[in-house]
Amino acid sequence: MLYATLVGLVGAALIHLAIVLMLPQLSANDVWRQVETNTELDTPFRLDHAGNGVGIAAARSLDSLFAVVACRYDLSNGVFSVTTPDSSDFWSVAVFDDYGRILFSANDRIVASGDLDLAVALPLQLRVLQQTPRAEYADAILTEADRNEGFVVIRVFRPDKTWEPVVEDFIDNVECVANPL
Amino acid sequence: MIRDLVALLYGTALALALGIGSAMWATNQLPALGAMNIDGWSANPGIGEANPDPYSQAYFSRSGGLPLAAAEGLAFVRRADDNGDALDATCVYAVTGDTPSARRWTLQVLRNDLPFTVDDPAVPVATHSRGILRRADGSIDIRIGRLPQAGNWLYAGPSGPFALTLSLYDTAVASDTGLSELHMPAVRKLECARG
Repeated sequence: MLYATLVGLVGAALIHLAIVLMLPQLSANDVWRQVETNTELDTPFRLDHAGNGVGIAAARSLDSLFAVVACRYDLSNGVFSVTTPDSSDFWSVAVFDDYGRILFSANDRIVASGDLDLAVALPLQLRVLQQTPRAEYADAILTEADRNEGFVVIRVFRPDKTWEPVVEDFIDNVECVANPL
Repeated sequence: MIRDLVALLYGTALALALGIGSAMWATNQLPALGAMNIDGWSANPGIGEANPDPYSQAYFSRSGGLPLAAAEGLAFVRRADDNGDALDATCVYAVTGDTPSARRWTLQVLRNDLPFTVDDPAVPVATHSRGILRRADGSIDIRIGRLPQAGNWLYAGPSGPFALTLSLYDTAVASDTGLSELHMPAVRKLECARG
């Protein structure tokens, strides 16, 4: 019986590790599954309450003083790029992959002009871009992703309703494009 | 033969029960390991980084939240006042002091771990660094209670437990070198309504 208990404990440790390590791949509830099932590819969509956007569960825990817009990408269609108009106020951006890992994050201080030009590419696509530079990526911030799919999240400060027109103007001009190389 | 079978079943049952149980428990909340505590406020800077620890990763896979990335900001949560008593909406609290340097911060009331929302936009449940009155020395003094208070006021609901979250945006808190001591606002209980 002692032997069986020992085997049971070792087995418990293995099962524990297996579950914890496999959750990112297997979870049906994570933010990627929610984004994938509720949104269109390469289309900006709003996540926060104020925007009457897609009501995904992950959005409930967001800071209510921020407007949040996201774009889903698939790099097998080409290099993905996000551009935003100039905003005088605070914004931040984060690139997530389909495991929910953060690949890159930045805020408005990363650019001098106030508008964001971010490109997400696979390592091979990045090499192509380095070997044959293209004008449209001359000023872009390049982010390397090792998985095909993911999404980009942009947060803009929106403390109250009076900011809505400004924020809406910003969000309406967010562009998400896949450019085949 | 039967004894072997019983031992086998027992071992398997033990492995499954303990393994699944402990994994569920460990991924139900953010890991205490790696948490950052400043004056009673706690945050998990690891979750915003490129390679979070497996437990934080598993927690977000299960809960489906969208954490702030490292360059975006860091969210601190507080569930108890300075005396260690759980925050209760029937009482009035004063949030006073200074925040670590950040481009902007927001202070929100959480109920059941989600941002509290009210239908009436005139009732404040969240505020930010540019939306408050400050004392002459620049420090903050925000009152939290169920009735409006003079100065800065946040509504935390009619009664029951709540929590506060202070999100610092564009802050270097997580990569602090320890050269200067960091301070977060104090949360002091002023009075409690009886009955």
